[in-house]
Amino acid sequence: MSILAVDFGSVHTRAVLIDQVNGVFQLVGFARTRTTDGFPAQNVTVGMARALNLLSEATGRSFATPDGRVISPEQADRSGADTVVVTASGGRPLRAVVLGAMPDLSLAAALRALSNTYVELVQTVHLADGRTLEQRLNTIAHANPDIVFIVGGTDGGATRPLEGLIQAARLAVSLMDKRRRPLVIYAGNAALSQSVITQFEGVAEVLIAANIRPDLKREDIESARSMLAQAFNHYASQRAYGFSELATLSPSGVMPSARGYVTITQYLAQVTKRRVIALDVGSGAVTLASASPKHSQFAIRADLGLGHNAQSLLSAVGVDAVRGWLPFEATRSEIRNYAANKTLRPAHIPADLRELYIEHALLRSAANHMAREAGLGGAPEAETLILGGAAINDTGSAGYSALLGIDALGMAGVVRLLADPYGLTAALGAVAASRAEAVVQVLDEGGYGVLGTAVCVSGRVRPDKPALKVKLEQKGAPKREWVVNGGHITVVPLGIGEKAKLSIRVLGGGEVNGKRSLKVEVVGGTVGLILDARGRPLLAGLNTAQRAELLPRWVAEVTGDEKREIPAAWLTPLDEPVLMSEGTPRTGKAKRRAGKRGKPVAQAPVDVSLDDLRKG
Amino acid sequence: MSVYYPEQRPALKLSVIQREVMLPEDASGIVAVQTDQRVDIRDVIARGLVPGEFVVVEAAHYFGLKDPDDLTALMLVNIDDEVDELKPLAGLKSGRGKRLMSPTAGRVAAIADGLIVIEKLNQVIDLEAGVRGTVKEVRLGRGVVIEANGSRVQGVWGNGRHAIAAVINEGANPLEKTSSDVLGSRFSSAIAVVRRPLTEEILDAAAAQNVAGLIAPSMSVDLLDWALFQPYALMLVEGFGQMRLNRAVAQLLQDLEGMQITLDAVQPQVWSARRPEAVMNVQARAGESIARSSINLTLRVGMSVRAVGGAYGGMLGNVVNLPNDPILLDNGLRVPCALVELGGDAGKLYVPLANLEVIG
Repeated sequence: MSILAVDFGSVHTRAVLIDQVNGVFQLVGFARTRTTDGFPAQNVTVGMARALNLLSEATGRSFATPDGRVISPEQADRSGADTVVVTASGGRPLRAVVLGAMPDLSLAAALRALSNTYVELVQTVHLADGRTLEQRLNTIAHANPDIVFIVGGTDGGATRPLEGLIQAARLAVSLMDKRRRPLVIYAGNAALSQSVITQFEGVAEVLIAANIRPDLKREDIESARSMLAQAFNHYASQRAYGFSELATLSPSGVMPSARGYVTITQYLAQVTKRRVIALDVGSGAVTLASASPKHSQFAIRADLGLGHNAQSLLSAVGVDAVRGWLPFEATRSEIRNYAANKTLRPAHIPADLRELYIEHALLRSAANHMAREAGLGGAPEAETLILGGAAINDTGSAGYSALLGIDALGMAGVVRLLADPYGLTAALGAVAASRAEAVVQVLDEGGYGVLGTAVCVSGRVRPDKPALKVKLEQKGAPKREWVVNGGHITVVPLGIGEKAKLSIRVLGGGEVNGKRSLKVEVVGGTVGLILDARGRPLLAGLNTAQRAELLPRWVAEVTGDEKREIPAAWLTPLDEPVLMSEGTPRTGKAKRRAGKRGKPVAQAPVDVSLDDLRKG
Repeated sequence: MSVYYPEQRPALKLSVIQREVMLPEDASGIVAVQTDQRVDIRDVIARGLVPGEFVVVEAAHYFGLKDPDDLTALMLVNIDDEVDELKPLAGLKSGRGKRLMSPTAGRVAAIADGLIVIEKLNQVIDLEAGVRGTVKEVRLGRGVVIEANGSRVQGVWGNGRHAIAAVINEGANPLEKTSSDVLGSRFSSAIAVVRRPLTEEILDAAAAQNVAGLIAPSMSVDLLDWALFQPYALMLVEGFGQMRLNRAVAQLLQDLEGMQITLDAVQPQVWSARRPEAVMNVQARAGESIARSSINLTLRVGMSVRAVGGAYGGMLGNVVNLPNDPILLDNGLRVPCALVELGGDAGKLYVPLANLEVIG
């Protein structure tokens, strides 16, 4: 029983093969190539074919026929796979308009439901927004939404207020071009469900979900999330660039990659009885999932990313947040130019030290921003941290990747670090419903790349004074002991699968997992055991000079590479350029010039009537 | 090293051009040509309407109707009728009694729920082919893909405008120092090419000299709003920052001096594959081969490439080696690289594969 999972990110297309080895599901092979939705291919199936070729090279099995068709089910010669699942995080997110009764009740629940998929919230309309019917109608119709998501009212409650919103939505949708009308998802007062179906008949396709807020105390967003996943597939298959072909590969169509983060963090939290966090900083979206045995939080920002959405990310976090992670002086222009260029060339790899620090400052700022939004706080503790996305995993050094992951969220306590460079999380999330045993077994068999375990001291530490003392005990080996000074990191070799007992003692003012002294069992990995005595909340220095000392040192300590010193000249404050045009009102001569050429191009005779156009 | 498919950003004197010509996202449109149809540069291949503002007239309320369906009997206009301001929309056909006048000129977009919705006049867009060629694909309601032979320079950013005009390279006299007389400057109504990073002064000088378009290597992102505001089409070839025009593009644009080109300075959208570009029809001479962008082009030793980013940003070079293993860069990253012989003093450098673009 083999499973082939293909995940389409904005920059990378990843293929994963899961198969039974001695009756147990394991990750057998993986491959990665560039997503090909851009010039010149403009068809994502081209990238998929390349990824499958690479997977064939890695596994010795073929997955596609010579004419490019994916082979399923698995054949006698072991070509193909029994189950094929397709996930995507790439491409334009769904544009959503949300209509709700009250902003702090139904609308808030709707936004939580939307946070599970790749959605760009373009407008919200609610009963208390003060808009007239005409304004609501224009707001909805001109937003060009892919989905109109209507919520509001409790089951058995009043229907009249919501009827006004439904009327506005129906009128607005009916005014839109027939070929581009949105899907309507209704998850409000159940008494109106049938009426919504009737009203939108012949106007737009409608999906009915259970009321997102059945009563004032209860929230039920799962049904709505399921409908949103259907909408995601609906639009994935309607997109150009070959997505329509992908939708036919799997009975479940194209699923959102991020679903896997919910499934996997929740599963691991149940198994470990502790909190599990997953962070994926991609080119076009940032995903943060946190699950404990009793509670889980999940957030996607489809407008933040380190590639396609780098400019939008910078706008969200602000230049000063990025500067807080830079070990040199940089003008606003330099940072903004870098982000703008990343948007133009999302796969770009930092070419020099300045670019590298700006890239990682953007990454850290994005993760900090998400953690704040998710209420994780400045120094979250978790049993496991799963790290996805090329920006974190493609450093070429497991230590560097681990450091980025720890710093991005400011992790505290004892935390196991797992890397997911091949999109395994997305694959497992997609197969969870049909092959739950595969998920369990792949995770048990170590499907993720294990970076190791970090012991991170919380609280204030005294710089360069002993802050952490760790005794390490391994079977058949003499006891070893390390003392790590405040503000420093020490990496202890502890190989993949190796276990060790640690006696941890915190010196000075800090603590680990809320204790001054504790014993834990840890596992090693490609990095080993990271003893992080930098204190929490993590401060990269109060000024540029401090950061110029600390940031390169931390990288050197965790990677074992030589310290890359920041040139003294980079610490000299720089003048910000001042533009004549800044704040210039768009009036006068410039406006007249714009008006002169800003008109639509002159009409040429052509045999199309405007009436035809207007009537759609 | 396993096969690597590099980024392609053509700057070619003679190639097969597949050009997407699309209406803006918010426009509804009709494509006016068919697959395999020959089109000329100025032919309108699609017409679009950007939706206008909707005005809601509460007609049933105006007439005091309890049942909104009763409005039907009073309607004097139908859906899709064009109405002038103050033209009667509803009332008794006998002409007696109250009459409901249109508050605005426009089109009757809907009559429902006792309401009349008027759409104010919308903006009409006529989309020109921009290149002489053959329609290869029609995207219903959106636009077409045209195939032609010619020169093509793809850029990275545009200000969303479009121009068809002759190319004039800046040469020794900077654009901002060029004087205008009553007939304008030599850049008037032309597409000017500058090889230096743009400044505010150059942007303003281009507008003052009434250029139709401007092709430049780069500018600071601080100028972005100002560039978007300019009345002419503007395309950046390298990116944001202080990069100079690479010599291949500079030479190609020099060779096109005085010729009419189409500058389609589309503003890249995050999730769109369209790129800004300058194209010009060129016929192949006898024996001259026509390049075609290959989907499956792989990076090979000897290939000409452009390096992007860092100190070598925009420099051209040749691939001299493709190591199997990732290379440790000076910044500490260890990534798959190509060894590239760059021109001038740069010598040979390892450049991340992701930072290479094939232009030829």
